[in-house]
This record gives sequence, C-alpha cells and structure tokens, in this order.
Amino acid sequence: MPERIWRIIEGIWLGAGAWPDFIEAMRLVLPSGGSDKEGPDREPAKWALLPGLCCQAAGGDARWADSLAAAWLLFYIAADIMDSVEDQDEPDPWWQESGPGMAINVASGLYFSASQVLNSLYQYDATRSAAPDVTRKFLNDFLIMCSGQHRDLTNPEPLLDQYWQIAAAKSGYFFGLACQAGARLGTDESKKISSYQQYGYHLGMLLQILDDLEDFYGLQSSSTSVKWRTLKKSLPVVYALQMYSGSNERQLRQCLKDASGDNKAAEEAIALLEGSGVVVYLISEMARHRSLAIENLEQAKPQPAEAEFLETFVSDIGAPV
Amino acid sequence: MSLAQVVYNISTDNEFASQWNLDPESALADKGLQISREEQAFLTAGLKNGRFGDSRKVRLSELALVHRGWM
Repeated sequence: MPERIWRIIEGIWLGAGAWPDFIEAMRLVLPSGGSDKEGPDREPAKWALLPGLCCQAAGGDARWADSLAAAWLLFYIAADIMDSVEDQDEPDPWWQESGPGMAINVASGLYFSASQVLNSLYQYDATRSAAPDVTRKFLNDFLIMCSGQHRDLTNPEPLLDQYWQIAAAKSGYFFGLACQAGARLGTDESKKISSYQQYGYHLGMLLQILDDLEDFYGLQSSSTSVKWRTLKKSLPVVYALQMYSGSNERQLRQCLKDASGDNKAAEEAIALLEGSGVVVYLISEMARHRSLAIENLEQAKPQPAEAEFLETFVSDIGAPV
Repeated sequence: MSLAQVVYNISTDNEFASQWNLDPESALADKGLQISREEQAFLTAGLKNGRFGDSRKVRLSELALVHRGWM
C-alpha cells in the first residue's frame, strides 16, 4: 500500500483536530499499524489497491484514486469491526478490556474519517467532476450493505437464496464499489464502468465464499472453538440444511450443535456436509463467480498491465485442488 | 437454487448420477430440473475439480486449506 495513502489518512486526522490518543487507537487498527510495512494483516491493504488499478485500467492515473483507496480501506476496516461487534465475536485484544463500546467508537471514527477523505475528491482537478457521482455511490452502497447486515442479523437461518442476497449486499456490492468508483475516475463510459463494477462484485462474492470456508478449517482440526450460531449462516451449512430433509437434516443440526468440544460430532457433521455434495457446490459457485469476473473484466477492455493484475486476483480462486 | 439441487441429486442419487454422466439433459428433464448451459459448465468444473466419481474426493477441509491464503 503506497505511503501516500497513509499520508492522506493521517492528514485528515491531524486536520480535524482529533485527539492524539483517539488517533492512535484508530491508527492501530489499520493494516500494519498504518504504514507500508509488510505484516500479517496486510490483506485489507491488498484489496485497497483495486480503485487505483481500475482507474488506471480504465485509462486514468492510479494516483487519482488515492483518496478513494484511503476512504474504501477505512470503510472496510470500520465495517469489519462493526461486524465483529454485531456478531458478538471474541473481542480483539485492543478492545477486550474496554468492551464493544470502544470498538464501536473507533469504527465510528473510521467512518467519519472515510467521509472526510471522500470530500477531498472535490479539491483536485482530476477528481472534481466525478466527485458527486462517486460520493453518492459510496453512501448509497453503504446503505445497501447495512441492509444486508440487518437481514443477516435478523434472520438466524437463511435459505440459500437469502444467503446469496445477503452476500451480495455485504460483499459483492462493496468490492463492486471499489472497482466502479476507481474506474469512474478513469473514464465516463458507463458500460465500461458497469463492467468494472461487475468484476468487483464477483470478486467480492468469491471472497465471501472463502470467508465462509475459513470456518471449516477450524471445524476439521477441532482445535478451535466452533460457534454454532456463525456456522448456521455459512454457505456450506445453509446449502446442506436446505438440501437435506428428515433424519439427515435433524442429524446435521444436532452434530453441528455438539461439534464444539466433541470431535466425533465434528467428524459426523463434516461427513454429512460432504455427503450432501457441498464441495462440488462450492467449487461450482466459485467457478461461476470467477468466470463472470473475468468475462466482465474482458468487456471493460482494460489496459494490459492492469488487466493482468486484476485477473490474478480471481484466477486462482477455486482452481483445481 | 437449481444448481444446488442438481449437485445434491448427483451426490446422493446414484441413478441420477449415472444418468447425468450419460445424458445430462435427459437426467435433468426426468427430475424436472433446469439449469443454463453456463451453469452446466460451472457444474462440470465443480465435478472435475471436486474429483467426483473418483475414489479420492476433495474434502471440505482441503478446500478450506488451499484457499486459506487468499483472504
């Protein structure tokens, strides 16, 4: 992540007069503590490259999208924190002692910081004309994301179609936004912008599937505590519970409930999930979203160098095991 | 939903699975299922990459492990 992106964020904080201890609290939740250093948490920073890549792919200059990248990253981290609080996840060390109130306050600070960064699009010649469209799109899409989160929170056992709607609202739209907004700074051709949005959307859907798969890494090893409430909303379980009926469905529900701390129940749950064809289903859906991401990228006719980067983001997901 | 239903039938119904291997369109018609050509292509990828029909099927944990670094 370029140093200039971090400077934008720091500039917003200092310019706003936020207090040093609060700035430090926000800085610490940024990838690698808000610097360009390599580190285990650099994944959000990787995805924040999308606006710049899409801007340049669409014929612009990646630097025009620096504010977008900074805003998107801040929104990403804020949404991630809020998601953890809302899902009642195990607290991260930095808010464990002070409680969820601290997490919510830091997330709020990041949201306001992101909004301030978006405002800066109006200040520069390269981004001024696109600023109203981009800002409106950001805020509209965030309302859609909140709608998805609301549905997620109020529906403990989504059906498969509902799962996909929620995944689209929470992840598809968010990554679509990064790509669309970046492309918008590079071009005003609406079909191209739409193709970038769809590329990002399908990338976001792929990442949501991977996020759900992560839950099952823990279940297999039985070495981490498994949260039944979270698993019930993951794609593999939603799929299997909808496909199974009768005794298989009842058995799966019971095994998933007992899986935490009971290796036999965990193994039975896995066997039932795998018996339903869930692996084939997951790979098929990953193939779908990967194919559609690449198809839309091709339709956007991106600059070759950026096309290669954007393609590598999706090309290996769901590839043969 | 249809793709999910077809996957489930292939995985749990040996007769459907055999018919699918010989003539996917007939297999679908007999069950009253419908998927697009694109979905059929994605399913073919899923069956191949999940090594369906092979004694060595891909496990859920293997799929999770392979993709762990992507997030």
